[in-house]
Amino acid sequence: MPVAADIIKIDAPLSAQAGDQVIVDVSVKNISGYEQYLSVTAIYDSALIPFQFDYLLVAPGETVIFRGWFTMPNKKVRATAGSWYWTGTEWYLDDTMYIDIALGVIPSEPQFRGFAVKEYTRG
Amino acid sequence: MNLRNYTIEGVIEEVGVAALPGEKLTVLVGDTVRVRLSVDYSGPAIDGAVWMAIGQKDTWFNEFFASRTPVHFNASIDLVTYEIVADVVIGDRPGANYDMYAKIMEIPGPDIFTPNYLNAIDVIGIAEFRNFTIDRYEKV
Repeated sequence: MPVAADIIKIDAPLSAQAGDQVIVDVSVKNISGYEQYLSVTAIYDSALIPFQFDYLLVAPGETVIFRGWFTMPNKKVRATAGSWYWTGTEWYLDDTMYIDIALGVIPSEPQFRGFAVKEYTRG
Repeated sequence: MNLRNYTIEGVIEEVGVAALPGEKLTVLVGDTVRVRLSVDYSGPAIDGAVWMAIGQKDTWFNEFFASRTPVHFNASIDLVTYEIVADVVIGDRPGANYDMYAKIMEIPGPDIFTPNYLNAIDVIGIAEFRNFTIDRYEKV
């Protein structure tokens, strides 16, 4: 159970095409009763995901969003994020969460399903 | 005496102004039939058109009234549902048990067709009177 840096959620697309820039927003809440320095790290496919901020000073009860991004490889990936808080002497890993991102491919040919009349009225 | 429901408009109101597939819609010459269609699409972004036709199906579909509605489909990995509205103006061709169908055309590949909806529409023309007779007469 996290004591300071609770990962509330990870927002990322459920699927992306190879080469797309995938944005990962990690929401972290300071659940301690004190002001804390919080940080987030994340990896996908053994690669580090860079984030907009290295760390933030967060008030008690406040939630902040760490935004990271990476280029979608040509396969599905799992992005795993970890939240950290500063103990005063070192960074402590407090919580983890992951999200799976499928590799999506736009069909090259149009595909239609279920073309039908739903209702017709006298106008 | 209340004649309201004996006008053609009254007859139309009694029949109803909306129908689901399998039901019949009665309209007047000059009316517009608004057809709501649905289709799921995935693929590249494309433009096309929906051809909505009302007529009579025998060996061929003989189109009496029709309309063309431009449509656009966005690029999508997954199937996305589109609602399409097509208006068809009913011309001066009264008749019963008209059929209808629609197709998506002007797209890459073959046209996409709905099923044929048989006996879907009756078209009423000018007012008609029949059997106008004297049933009784008396001194007043």
